[in-house]
Amino acid sequence: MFNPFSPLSKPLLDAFVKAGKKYFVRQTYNRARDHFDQGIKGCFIFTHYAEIGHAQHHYGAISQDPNKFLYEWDNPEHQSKLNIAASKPSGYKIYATVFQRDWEKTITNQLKEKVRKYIDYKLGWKPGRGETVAFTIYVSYGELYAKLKLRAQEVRVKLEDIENL
Amino acid sequence: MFALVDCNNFYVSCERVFNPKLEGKPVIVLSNNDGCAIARSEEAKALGIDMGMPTFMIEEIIREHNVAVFSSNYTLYGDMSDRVMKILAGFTPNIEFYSIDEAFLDFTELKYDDLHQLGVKIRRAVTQQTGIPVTVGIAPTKTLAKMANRYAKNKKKDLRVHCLKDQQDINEVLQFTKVGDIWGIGRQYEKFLLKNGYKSAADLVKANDEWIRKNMSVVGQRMVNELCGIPCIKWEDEPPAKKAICTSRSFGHLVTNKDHLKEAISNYANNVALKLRSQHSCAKQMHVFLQTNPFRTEDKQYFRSVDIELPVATNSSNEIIQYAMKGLDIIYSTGYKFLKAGVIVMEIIPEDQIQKGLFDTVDRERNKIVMNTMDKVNKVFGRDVVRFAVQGYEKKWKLKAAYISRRYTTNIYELLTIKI
Repeated sequence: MFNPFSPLSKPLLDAFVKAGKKYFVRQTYNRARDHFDQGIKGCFIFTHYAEIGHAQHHYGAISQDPNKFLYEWDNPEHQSKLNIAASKPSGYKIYATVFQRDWEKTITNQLKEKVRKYIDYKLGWKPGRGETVAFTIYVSYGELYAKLKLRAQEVRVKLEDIENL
Repeated sequence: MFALVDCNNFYVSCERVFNPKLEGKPVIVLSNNDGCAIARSEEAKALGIDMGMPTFMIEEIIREHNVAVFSSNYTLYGDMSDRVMKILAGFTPNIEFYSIDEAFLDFTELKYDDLHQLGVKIRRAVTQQTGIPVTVGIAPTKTLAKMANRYAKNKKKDLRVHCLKDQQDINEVLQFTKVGDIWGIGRQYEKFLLKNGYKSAADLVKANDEWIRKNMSVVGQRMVNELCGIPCIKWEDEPPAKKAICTSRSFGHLVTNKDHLKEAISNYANNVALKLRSQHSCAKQMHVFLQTNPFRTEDKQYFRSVDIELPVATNSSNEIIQYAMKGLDIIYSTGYKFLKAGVIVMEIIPEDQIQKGLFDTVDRERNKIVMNTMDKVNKVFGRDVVRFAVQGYEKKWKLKAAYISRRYTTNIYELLTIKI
């Protein structure tokens, strides 16, 4: 699956804290899963927040996720766990909701084809000659979304819905 | 001199007028769909219930402290607001209705000797005639009046009136007001000013004019002038005509059925058309959208919108509903649980400046008569008494309002009853 995010690292974690992002929501991240790698015990993604309210909203929105957790940097126990997560522990793939540099280059032809298929079959859009469908990706509550825009129409769906076509 | 009259915890006060048992008890009013706290009594504030806190986060406090909870009852609040504003209009012909619970009064042309006493009189009149407690701030500019009002709320809790008669009073309030609490200073400007060493309004008054203009534009300069007692903010006798009108609501529960969506969107479209007619304007463009609940990450997510260009600008409900239905046909997709829909009209122009179409087949004169008649009937007999069939009666998508009070002042069947 398409994974544009950066792995969580110590410099990244320090940068978050320096910028006042002291709340982190952990959730399952299936995009990092490699089904052929038997040694992987878990894949997670951490989303950073400056305000506890926003973090709690996110936490509430992933109520079904058995791996959800809300870390507070000022809590010493949480801080130590965050540091462990940022140290790339073996058996775990841990990411932060920060796009990698040049992430656009990682979009595969397969994904491009799926997007084309979605536009054609699901949306029924027929762009005219010289027209392009604007395609952007954004993240919401640790989940990737696609935004497609043609003329007066706009659609936002989970990227997963396009990938699973 | 200007006065800012502000109703205290307005929605809560409206509920208390008809339910005096609530005096002295923690009370909160929830937003649409009972989502979060939007008005709190002083007792509720003391319990740590913040503005905008989601209901699920305060459930425990509500249970533990027996907090009285109400769904928002805008019919009641709108009517109570009208009553308050009518009383205020009796003190001066120059009144600016700033929001549902706030109004500026301009006393510049009137000869009141003792403005502080006048403030006390205003407060007494409103409380006596409506039961709504208000706070009055009086000052040479609108921004200072806002600050005087805030000062009265914090420092003069018994009297709730504060008048800035001279420079000494102004200095005291400037000193008291933090930069972030000045009218017109948002979060980003607050951060920026604090970073540059401006902590209170008194600090900002001393700032160099050139620095203010360079970093905060002419708007910032105007604000500083206001703090110095020079009125710079325009007086608005009538609210400016809107450039876009939106009606969007979250449904009381998730909707999958297209007929229910049709009903909801046609009601929103009718609402938008009504607002257009009330400000004598027409719209040339419409935006219709539909979305699922982004907080239910386990559900399939879908947001879709479409912009529709209307051939001739209109404010007629039947036309706007018709185009909204076309929009729904384009954006609707099966298999999703929808939470919210909305209709926005844009490119608004005065109704007497419409560019008519050469091939337009709509009988606009007839439509106008129908709309006028419909509006008149609905004004007398109640909202939506006459409606379009597509608007329906079922309203299965209706907002959640589990704790709504009665419409004591506007519905004959919901009058206050007392036992003797």
